[in-house]
Amino acid sequence: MAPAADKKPEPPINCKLLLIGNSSVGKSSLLLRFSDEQWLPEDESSATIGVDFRVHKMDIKGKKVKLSIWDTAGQERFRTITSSYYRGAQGIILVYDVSSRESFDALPRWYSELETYVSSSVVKILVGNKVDKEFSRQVPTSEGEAFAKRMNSLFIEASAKTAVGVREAFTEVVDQILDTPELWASSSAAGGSGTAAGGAGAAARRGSSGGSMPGGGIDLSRDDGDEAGGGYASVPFYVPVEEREVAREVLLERQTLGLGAAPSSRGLDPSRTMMTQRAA
Amino acid sequence: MDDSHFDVIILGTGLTESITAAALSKVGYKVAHIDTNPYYGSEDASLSLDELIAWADKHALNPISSDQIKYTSVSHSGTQLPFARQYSISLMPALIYSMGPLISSLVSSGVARYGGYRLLQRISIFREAGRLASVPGSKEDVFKDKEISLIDKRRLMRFLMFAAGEFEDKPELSGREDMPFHEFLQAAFSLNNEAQAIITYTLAYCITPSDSSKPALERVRRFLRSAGRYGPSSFLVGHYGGAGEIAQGFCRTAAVSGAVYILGRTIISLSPPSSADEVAPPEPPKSTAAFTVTLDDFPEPLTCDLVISSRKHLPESLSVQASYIPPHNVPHPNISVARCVAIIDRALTFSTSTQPSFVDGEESASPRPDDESPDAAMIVFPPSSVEGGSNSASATAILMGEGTMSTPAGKWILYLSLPLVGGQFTSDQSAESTLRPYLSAALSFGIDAEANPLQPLFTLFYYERHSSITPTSSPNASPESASDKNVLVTPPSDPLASEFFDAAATNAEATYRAASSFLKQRRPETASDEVAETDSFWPPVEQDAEDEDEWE
Repeated sequence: MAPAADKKPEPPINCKLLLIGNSSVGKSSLLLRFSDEQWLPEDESSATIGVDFRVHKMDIKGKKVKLSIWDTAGQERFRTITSSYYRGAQGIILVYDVSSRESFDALPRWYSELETYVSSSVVKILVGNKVDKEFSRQVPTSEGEAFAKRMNSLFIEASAKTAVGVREAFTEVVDQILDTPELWASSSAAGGSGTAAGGAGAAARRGSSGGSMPGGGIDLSRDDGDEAGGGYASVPFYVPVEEREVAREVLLERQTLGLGAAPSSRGLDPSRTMMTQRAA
Repeated sequence: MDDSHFDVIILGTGLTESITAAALSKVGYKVAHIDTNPYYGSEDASLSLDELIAWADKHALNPISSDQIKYTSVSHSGTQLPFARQYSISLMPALIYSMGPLISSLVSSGVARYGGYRLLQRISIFREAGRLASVPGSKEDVFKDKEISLIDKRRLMRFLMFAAGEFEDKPELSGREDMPFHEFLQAAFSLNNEAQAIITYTLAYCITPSDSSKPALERVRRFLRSAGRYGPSSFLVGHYGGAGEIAQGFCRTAAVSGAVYILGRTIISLSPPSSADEVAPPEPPKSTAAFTVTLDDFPEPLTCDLVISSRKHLPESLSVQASYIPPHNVPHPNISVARCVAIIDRALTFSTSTQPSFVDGEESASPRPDDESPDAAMIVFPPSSVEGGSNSASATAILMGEGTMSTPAGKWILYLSLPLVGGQFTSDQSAESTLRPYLSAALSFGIDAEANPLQPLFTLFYYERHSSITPTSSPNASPESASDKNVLVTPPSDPLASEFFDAAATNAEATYRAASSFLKQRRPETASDEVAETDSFWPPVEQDAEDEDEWE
């Protein structure tokens, strides 16, 4: 939603956020409330089907941020979340249900999973959802708050149903990510798999000049699976060397654009990357 | 419908089973996907170093020679290294052709967006200790190669043009389809030994010099056509260990479509539809009976109409009635391999005097240090090239560094793999002694290795045995009856680095088709309601309307 006159805007900062927590605490509902401003009544919503991730753009502190927010796809039910789910996340939204003591008591296990898969610098927020069910509350606010503090996390109570606290939960995470440059400006080498996704992150870690690295992250959907189409792809190996060189230049250019300056442009939303490339 | 009833229960989360799960879920079948391991990927998993050591210790006591046991002669040296969790070590190290069934499935299913990929930077062929030759994989490489004489260049060029085109009906091939490939290269193109070796082992990925010509040519064509799609190299490398990570991506996609995932539970019982005492009459295909699966530490049993299983996961009780889907387009379904995983803390150097690098076409470009000590590269060892190595089979060494997101900074994983053909190695020879010569040969390329020999920080050796015995499903099994079978066993995959991924995707499609033909006939009335009709392997990916980018 930038003004059209703004011809050369700064590229948006890519942010990957994850939702985790027990089944039925309202992770998908929070996501839908935040990104689509929707609420599914309880009898219509079931265990997560069909929510993969949502892309959401926002302006925060004068910066354009492109959030991709990932849902568990129901894989939390039997604790089979894939390790690949956690790759490249900069922010984690841990959700429990204030009317379910069990969902709160499960949090230490979720935190220990985070310890395994993401770096300690990743921003975490603990969200006590369903405050609209005040009458059946089982976890006092103060208890949630104290626990979050102990786990070095932000804390908020929210209701996906009434929208209370939802926007704040997401913006607070992003806010703190923006205050933690190592999460997006360059990747932290100490963090294990929790570093920024993709080739650009690797480039940053290697301290290379970035950009001109044809060996870096590749967007497989770049040519949309159309094996006959797409710039370089359509150049058979036996065309004259000069033409091939031209094609390669084009390719390098596309890759440079695709990789961009933001560390986590890879693996988040390749179709968008593709669009960017095409537009350019 | 009942929450614990499924159309299909899939056992094993290897890549083939994971792609199958995603495809079946996407068209609307209700899938439960189970693995007895606590991690995704089964035998294709990517493991952290501590998980790998636990895996090795678990298999270390397996007897060295047995047809029944997949992993034998398992030994590892070294103890835990720092940052063990930052390693993503593949049990099935492999390379992805830029054009082929796996890439098509990754893109069409949308799974491509979950992971990162990079180009393989170098392919070199081993000449002798300390000496590599790079592989001229394209016309410009041949042009610039200063070691090839003019006449050989013409011959090589003629061959590359031939192999990239529609050679099936060409006179050069006619009558020579089954000729050993190196003889064909000599007879049809007068290529010298050096060129023969390069083509046979690094373009065609033959195991032995006598592999037949037509399939070898098809592989050369695939190699040549793959170059250029995403960059100069024909191969991509998956981040975080490749196969295991990609399998997880397909599992996630299946889950997004409603598949239920259960890992790390023992299967206590899997009872077939017909009760055990009633034997004789083959049950009618439209029977409403279902399998019941009982899992350890799991609230309630699951039921299903169809069981799909990897060979490894198949319960013994079902092996008689199972239908074994035959491998199709899988070049080496039953070949056993010796494997080594070594972790090193110094780069390997791939500089080769004045030769052009494999990926490098632009001489004017500034030197790219990445190419000299790459993060994703392969060395091919032709038969008899390594003293003490195999006389009949070619081996590969794949190097993965930090840029593949599978190691901590300053560490590299070296994967060695040697197909066990030719009967040169006796069955009581350990995997370690079989592969040591190759490991030493590969380490001879370590930077400063002459002055300061490169010692691995960790090594793991093992044999991976693929039994060639396919249990016969039933004495009078006919192909027609296959669609009546309610236990499907996925075809064996191909353990070679160049073949694994495409074979898995091809196997998955065959399994998907067998499964959906069974399920359609079983319950046509519901299937037509709930299941999307599609002839293609993957339904179209929905384009998110939000994808428009107003900022650009």
